[in-house]
Order: sequence, then structure tokens, then C-alpha cells
Amino acid sequence: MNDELFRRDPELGAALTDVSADPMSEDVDWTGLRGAIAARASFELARRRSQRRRMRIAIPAGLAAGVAFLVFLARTPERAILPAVDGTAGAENSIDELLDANVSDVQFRALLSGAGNANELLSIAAAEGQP
Amino acid sequence: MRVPARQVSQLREADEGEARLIDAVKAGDAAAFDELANRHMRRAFSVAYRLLGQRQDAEDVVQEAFLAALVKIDTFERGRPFGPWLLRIVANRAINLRKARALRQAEPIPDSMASGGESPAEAAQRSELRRELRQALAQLPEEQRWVVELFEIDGFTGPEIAEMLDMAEGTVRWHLHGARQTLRTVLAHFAVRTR
Repeated sequence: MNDELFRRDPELGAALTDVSADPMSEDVDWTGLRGAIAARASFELARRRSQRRRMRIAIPAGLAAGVAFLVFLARTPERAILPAVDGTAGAENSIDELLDANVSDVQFRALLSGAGNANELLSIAAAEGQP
Repeated sequence: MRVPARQVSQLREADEGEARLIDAVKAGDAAAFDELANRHMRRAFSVAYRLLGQRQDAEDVVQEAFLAALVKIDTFERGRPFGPWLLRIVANRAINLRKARALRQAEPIPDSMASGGESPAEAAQRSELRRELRQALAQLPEEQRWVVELFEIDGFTGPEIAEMLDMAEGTVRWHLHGARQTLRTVLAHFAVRTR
């Protein structure tokens, strides 16, 4: 039944064709319409061409930059690439070195407190002597 | 229905040709877009005109639809036929235009002159039939009118109409059935009266 419904009815078709306007017989300027379509599309087409050109340059440049970065990573020592973010890691290293170093207690304390000269070392020592 | 192998191969070549054109359009090739427009603008105009009833509005809608298709062409699946996709855009835009604007009355379609062999009485009868059919068409719900005109006059298939008007095929059948019933009644009454 459904297929039958989608079969054309020649009598009705002819009658409708007779009374309806035929779009193709309308006074359509096909060349003009084609030109108008092309004109309206020109900006979008130009944008697409320019995008394509940019991609043509950007993709090899991006690849080259990626390769260069990988080469840089491969050649650079690990410590230089990943420095301590804050002072903590460096401080831990210094304490380890101090613990291993052959220094007196006073020197150890002074070094640990960051004191750098003899006067500071003496004042530390004097302060230790007080109750 | 069996399609001959040669015809299938020709269709495949045509599809492949169109797919290549679309690839070129995606890259911004103006000549490819012009070719695509040339292939599809007549059918697109036919649908727009059928839905709007005005040449100028139909031309505007066709131009807008081609531009919209170009802007969205990256979403178009390669290998699918371009025609139905474009016609759906055309139909959507035409329907929206109808809704958005208080549509000007369709230009009256002049009666064509009676053909050479017609007697004055026959010409009068013909003119009367046209008037009645036109009246019946004008009184149909617009979806029924679109469907019956696109099917019986413009030769679109049921599934094509369903896709372009964004309707289920069953709905297209329903509208076609309703419109045919009304119009056949007009034809039958006229035949009885003039017998």
C-alpha cells in the first residue's frame, strides 16, 4: 500500500502542472544566480584558502620545533633541566654535606645558621655560653 | 528493482566526482564551488520556489543556502550525496522565511492562452478547472500542498521530500494521501459536471 502511495498519479500530476507555476519557466537569470552565489561565497572561500596556506606553513614549523625540543632535551643534563623549584631541595643537599664534613661543633653550628665570618661565629659561641 | 551494473558504476563515478569537488571546496577552490552550484542550483531553486511561491525570495534563499552549506561543509560526511543535504538547508531556510516574514501574496499565475485546437467552450472549461484546482490547492494545509507539488510536479521521491522537509516518510505519505484525496475530489466533481 505504501509503495502504491508513492507511485505518481499522472492525471493529477498533469492537472497540477497545468495550474502551478513552473519554476523553470520563471524568468530566472541562471547565470546571474550562479554569479551571485559565487560572489557571496567568495569571502568564505578566500578564508579557507588562507587557512589552508597557514596550515601548510604551521604544520612543518610545529614539527621542526618539536624535533628541536626533543634534541635539546636529549642533550641537556638532567640537573640543568630540572632545577630545584624552591630552596628546600638545595638545603637538604647542604645539610647532608655538612653532616659528612669534618668540622668542629661551633663551625658546624655557624655554618648551619648561615653565619659566614669570624665575628658571627664568636657571637654565636658567646651566646651559647650564657644561661 | 535491479540497477544495471554499468549504471551502478556510472553512479559511483559521479559520486566520486562530487566527493572530489567537495574536497576541493573544503580547501577553498572557487572553481569547484562554482561547479557544485551549477549542478544543484536549479533543483534548489525549484524547491525554494515551491515553498515560497516567489521568484525573488526563492533566489535569495538559494544564495543563502549555498553560503550556509559552504560554511558548514566540514561537517558534511564524505561519500554522502550533496543534493539532499543542500535541499534540506534550502527547505529549512524557505520555511523559516515564510514564518519570519509576513509573506507577500504569491504572484498570480497567469492562465496560459488556450492551445490552438481548443474550442472556446473547451477553453472555458479548462479555465474553470484551473480556477477550482488552484482554489483547492490554496486551501490545503501548507505541508500537504508542498508535498503534493514536490511529488507530483517536481518529481521528487517520498524519501527525498521526507529528508528535505525533515519529516518521517510516513508523514510525507500521510500528507500526500490527504492532498490527493482533496484534489481528486475536485477533479472528479468537475468531470461529472462537464460530462
